[in-house]
Parts: sequence; structure tokens; C-alpha cells
Amino acid sequence: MFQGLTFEAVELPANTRALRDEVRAFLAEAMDPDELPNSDFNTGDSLAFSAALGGRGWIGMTWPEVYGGGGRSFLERYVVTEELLAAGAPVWAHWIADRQTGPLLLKFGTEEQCQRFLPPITRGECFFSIGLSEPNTGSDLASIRTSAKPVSGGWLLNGSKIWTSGAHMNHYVLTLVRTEPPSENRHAGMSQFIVDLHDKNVTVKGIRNLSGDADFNQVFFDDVFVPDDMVVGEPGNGWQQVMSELSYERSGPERFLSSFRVLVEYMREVGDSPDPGQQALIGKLIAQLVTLRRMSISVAGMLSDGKLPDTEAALIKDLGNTFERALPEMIRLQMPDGPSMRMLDTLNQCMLHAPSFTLRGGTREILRGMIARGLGLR
Amino acid sequence: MSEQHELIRETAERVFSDLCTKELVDSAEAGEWPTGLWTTLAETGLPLVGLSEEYAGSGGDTSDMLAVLREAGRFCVPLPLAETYLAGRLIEQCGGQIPAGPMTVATGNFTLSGGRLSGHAQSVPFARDCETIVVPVGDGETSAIAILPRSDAEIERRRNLAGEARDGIVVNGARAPILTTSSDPREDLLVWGAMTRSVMMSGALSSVLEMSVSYALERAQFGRPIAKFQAIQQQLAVLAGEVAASLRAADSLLSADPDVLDIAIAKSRIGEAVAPSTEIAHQVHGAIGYTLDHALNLRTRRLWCWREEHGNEAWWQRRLARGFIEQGPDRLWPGIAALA
Repeated sequence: MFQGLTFEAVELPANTRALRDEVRAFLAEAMDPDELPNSDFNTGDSLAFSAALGGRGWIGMTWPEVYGGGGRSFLERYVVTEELLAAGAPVWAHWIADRQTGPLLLKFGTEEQCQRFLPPITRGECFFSIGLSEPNTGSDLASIRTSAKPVSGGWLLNGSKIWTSGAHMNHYVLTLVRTEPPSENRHAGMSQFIVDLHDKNVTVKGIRNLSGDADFNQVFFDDVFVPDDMVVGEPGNGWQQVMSELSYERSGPERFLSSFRVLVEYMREVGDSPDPGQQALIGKLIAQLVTLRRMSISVAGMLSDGKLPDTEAALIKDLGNTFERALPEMIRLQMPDGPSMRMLDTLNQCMLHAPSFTLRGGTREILRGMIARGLGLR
Repeated sequence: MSEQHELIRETAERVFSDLCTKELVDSAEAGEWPTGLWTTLAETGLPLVGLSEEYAGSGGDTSDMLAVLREAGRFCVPLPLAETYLAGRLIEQCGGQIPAGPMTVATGNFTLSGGRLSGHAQSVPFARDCETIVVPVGDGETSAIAILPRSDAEIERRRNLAGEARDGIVVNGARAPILTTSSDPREDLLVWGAMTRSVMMSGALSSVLEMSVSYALERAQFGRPIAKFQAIQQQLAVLAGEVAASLRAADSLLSADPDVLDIAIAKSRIGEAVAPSTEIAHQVHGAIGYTLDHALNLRTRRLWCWREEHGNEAWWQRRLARGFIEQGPDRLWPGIAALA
């Protein structure tokens, strides 16, 4: 068989059971019952919630304790993450810092950077954005033009990033920058900078998406001075840094749970007497969801064993995104007459965000290209 | 997986890849019983793997047999392997001795009166070729199985759309041995049957993917292999996703003695993979894959049949949903998270 298509059964360790119960008890207290829960990680943010989560030790769970982390396993983190998403908790504020920035700094950052940034991230007080895409750079990331020139004690940064989610509320943006002119090796000469979003030479301009939310932004850098100690790892190593975290980013439960709350509300709507079509739809979605979750946990197991299952992660994201996009479409056609406002609000909110599911974190087409590479086609 | 499990799987794979050629499957479809293949398998004991030696089985556990059946699905083995296992398992459950030779199972309208079995069933797999037909019977109070010799049944030869024997049988007052059980053999047959078809489909699907990828790498058009075209790559990536999900769903049945929920999930998810997978495989293969001479159709036609047998996707989806609906929406997530 092909490499990258095997998802071995991984059982969650016994110690995750008590942890799961703790998270559920916490959520029962911390969630606002008047707020409509939304299992899309990108949709709800609450500074109070992030701080409370940090207080429980559930941000930076897998990081070393010396940096404020929990020293816990990757599978324990998985359990906390999926519980938060399934409940529709407002996780967005700390999401990127927890999932991406922290692990990246641990792997590539300096000791000083880890000491400075990781503890406040774990407390739910320090938030990051990702600065990859640019107005003329999307899937073809190596074509970025934002660049920096060396100056005394650091770098002078110029250019612009776009679709920078959360830049209007976060503290920093981890920015991929060209620090050498493009050469034959397209992936060489890039570096990652930690840029202070409150710097006077940084401008953040909100962009409204079709739901009316202004979560993403264009960020402009005009002669922004970035000191040497804000360069992550070695200059020139940026591409490798960006690529190294993709398996984490693509295989998690956030890649198939975004529309989960629509299913929950749908079950409330049909109650205990669904018609056969509604009943089959519920079973169909559960069967798909359970299978996706098992595949995702399998990858979590590989990651915690130190493997880099890039093809598997791409497969999960593609299948998961397809599932979470199809879910509201299937449900609307099996809706009982006179649905409640709660049902409609949940469904409509999902509809308006669904186009982003197959774009963010790698488009469907890029993922399928990666899968094709895993199959030996390219 | 244990060493023994891998050994059984490898044995099955070797026998099937040596003997179960396209020509053999074609001749079986034309009505010829593959004596040599059955004899070789019977000598290795593979048809009765997963059944206890105490009842004349070959030993091993359910997952061993499912590994054999997955290989059988990959190679389109034209034998009642799943049915022999199902019949044997029903007999074993009743404490009976498992007879030698190919067996099948029949569900239909049967009544037992004065120790005599009467009734009829449709779509009985390989009835014409089996020596024993195990028939679940019950009147609501007692549950039993009848061990019907084929010679006591009238056989109406029929085939499914894969050309596999699916015969009608009629029984008029046959004096067949009856074994009683405290279980519900009709339900058991449905659940175990769905389990066998799920792993068989996962095997056939993995083979469909392998064939499609090989073909795309071999077939050249516009001066290069069609695998180099993005349109083809993207299609095959989708196929790979469907196959990977199917293999994972089937693995849940192989890892332990599977729960009925796992079987419902597998039959539903794998059955759903059939339409997109066979569509892509045929599209990638072009006209050659549509010919009878090409081996692709052995897999795709079987997949179209197996997804219907022992409850199709919608049937199992409704059944899977039942428990979750009873528990209510706020127990949905805990229910899902409990399925390790």
C-alpha cells in the first residue's frame, strides 16, 4: 500500500478520562449560556475565557514547565482541544499562540524568546497572528515580497501581509520575510520575525469578510525596526520553520468540527421523532465524524511519536473540511417545518463562514497536490 | 497485530495472488466452481479461521478472519468465504460441530413445524455450490438455526450484478437438524454479515486505488503520463481520502471484537466511499476500464453489490442514529468521544 494512507488505531491514554471530565466541568461553568456556541475555532473570542483557560493550565499544555507549560502529552492536549471545540467555546484569542507560535518558538526560537513569550502565552495574556499571505502571495508562499534590510542592531522591515486574522486584537505577528533577494532556490533567504503589532510603523486595516465580521486584516510595515533578538532562530531558516508545523496545523479536530454545533442543534430540532431521512442523515454524519476523529487521533499519535505525517495530515484536512462544509448543506434539506431561531442562527452563521473552511491553513487544491505527491504521482 | 495474525493475512494474500487470477474470477462468473482454489484454501484451514477448534474450526479470532476477508476483497475471490465463516459462527454459537466444505447462510421467510423446515429465501450467496445452508429460524420465543443440506432445497440460479451466485431457495418440509440458541441468530447474521462486507469492501477499495494510481502512471497522453496532470492528481487524491477513511473504519473492526456501533459506522462510511471511488477509478481508467476484459470491473461491480448486502448505508445510518437520538443532542459529543 501507499505511504501516508495508514491510520493505525490509537487509543487515548487512560489519564485523559479524568482530564476530559475536568474540561467538561470547567466548560459548564465558564460558558455563557446566553451566547450561541460555535465550534468554528475562528469565530468566538473572549479575553476572560482565554485567561480562565490559562489559569487551568490548558494553554501551552505540552510545553516544558520551566516556560509555564504543563509538560503534558500531545494526546492530552488533543482531548482538551476537542472538548473546547465540541462545546463551541470561544478559543480564538489564544488559538494561534497556543497551537502554532509556542511550538515554533520551542523548536526554533532562542532561549531568551522562549522565556519572554511563552509564559504570558500560557497565562492567556499574549496573542499572536500569522503573517504569511501577501496581496500577491497566497498558495505560492515562496513568492513573498515583504523584505527586510540589515541595519545596526536589527532589520528594517517593509511590505504588507494580508488575511492576517486577529491582527487587530493580538500583540504580535510572526512574519515571514525575505531577508535575501530571491535566488535560484526559491525557498532560501527567508526569515521569520516577531513583529510588535503596536509599533507606530505598523498599520492594521480591517477587512470585512462576507459574514460582516472583520477578523482578518491587511497589515502594513513601513520602515519597521525589528531588533535582532526578534528574529526567530537563524536568519534564512524561515521556510523550513513554516513548513515544519504543517502536520500539527492540519490534522487537529478543528479541521472537521467547525460545523459540529449545527448537528447538535439539528438533533435538538428533530427531537426524538425524526423521519427516516432525518434519522439516516444523523447517522451518516456521526459515522463520518467518528471516522475522521479516529484518523485525526491516529495522526496525533504519530506526532507524539516524533513522526512527520504530512500526507496523512493533508488527507485529514481535506476530508475534514469537505465534511464540515457539506454538513450544513445536507441539514438544510432535511429541516423540519418551522425551525427555531436558535437552529436558524446556528445554521446561518455556519453558512457564512463555511467558504473559509477549505481556504484557511492550505487550500483544498494545495492539500490534494500534497496527497498526490504522497501517492507518487508527482 | 500479533505474529499469527500477520501470518494468516500473508498466507491468504499469497494464495489469492497466486491462484485468484482474472481468468479464474471470469470462469467463476461463467458458472464454474473454482475447485483448485477452494481445495488449496481448505488445506490451509483458512475458510474456518476465527472459529474455535472445539467446534471443528481452525482457531484464531474474529480479526484473523476479517484480515482474510479483506484480502479476499482485494482479489475478488469468487468463493463463499464470508458465508462459510458466518454459517460456522452461527453453528459455533449454538454449540454445534461445524461441517467441512463450503457453507452459506439464508435469511427469508421460513417456518418450523413439527421439526420440518419450510420457506423460501432470495439472494442466497453461492447456494448452488454449498453443501450446507444455515437458516436462522425463530417464532419470537425460541431462536434456532436449521442446518439445511443443499440437497433438501430447490435452487433457483441467480446472479448479482457482479456475476456472483445469489440464488433463490425454496424448502418444503425438510427434516434439517435444528440447533437452539439464546441469542437472536437473525440479528447476529445481519451484524456479522455487515462486518464481513465492510472489510471486503475496504480490501476492494484499496485495490481500486492501487490500480488507478498504476494506470495513471503508465498511461501517457499529450506526451506524458496522465498522472502528471493536475486534473488527474486531484481526482486521485479524493479517491485516496475515501480509501484511507474506509481502511480506518475497517481497522476498527479488526482491532478487537467489534461493537455493533463500530460495524454500523464501518458499513455506513465504507458503503458511502463506493460511489465516489468507483466513479473516479473508472474516469481515470477511461474506456479501457469500462471493458469486461479489464480487471477494474471485478472490483467495482462487487463494491456496488456488497454495499447493498446486510443493510445498506442508509439502513445502518438509521440504526446508528437511534441510540444517539434517544440520548439527546447534549449527549451527542460525549457519545462520540466515548468511541475510542
